[in-house]
Amino acid sequence: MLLSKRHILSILIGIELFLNGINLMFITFAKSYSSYVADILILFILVITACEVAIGLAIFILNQRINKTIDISNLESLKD
Amino acid sequence: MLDWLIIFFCFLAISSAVTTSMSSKIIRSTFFFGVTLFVIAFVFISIGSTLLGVVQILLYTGGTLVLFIFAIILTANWDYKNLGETFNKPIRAIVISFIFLGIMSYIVSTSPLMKELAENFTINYSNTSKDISKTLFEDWFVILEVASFLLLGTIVGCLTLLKYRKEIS
Repeated sequence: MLLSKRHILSILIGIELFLNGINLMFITFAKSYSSYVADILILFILVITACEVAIGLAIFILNQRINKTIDISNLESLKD
Repeated sequence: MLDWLIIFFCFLAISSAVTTSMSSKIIRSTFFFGVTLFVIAFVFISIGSTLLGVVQILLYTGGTLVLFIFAIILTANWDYKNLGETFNKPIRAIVISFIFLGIMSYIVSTSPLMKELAENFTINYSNTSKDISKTLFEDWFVILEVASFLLLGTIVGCLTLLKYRKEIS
């Protein structure tokens, strides 16, 4: 989704899925060692993901207000 | 029985994630994304990380889905059809994602740091949640503080970004 879509929400959902995949990988690894370190790491990953979604959606809404589009190709004009 | 349940949830998570990626409509994609998050939470609960599963459902899934739905509602009058929300160059995307999966699996499974961490924090099944809380507030306290500052920074960042509304109007 990150590579193939142009809608900002689709890209954000792609990043979320990607981070959830990493969460699953961490917990699989840690459970094979009977460890709870993945639980802690995943809690921090969830914090980072929540921050990323909030900032991403703020940029999305800002882009929609300023450029009147939801296409990611026009994001560069927000710098002006 | 539990093993089959975990396999079933994993299969469900993969299929809903694929459906999320392949959906052409954003609202449908968001719905299946929510299903994926719920199923991953059930996977966490099934393999014994109850605290993580509950956090995933109550805070992460709830918060994220509400944010996405609000964003869709706020931009609902936009013509999504012009965007052509189909997969561009799907083979390239699939190949890159599998390469990334392989690299990440290799790094996580062979990293000495991860092995050391895993051996230092072994599970005591009677009070895992207590162990996690204790570890968070003792060994990982600095990182916890950094995470809290990150959340604070996010709030300030979002307010700063959306401040432009007044200037535009």
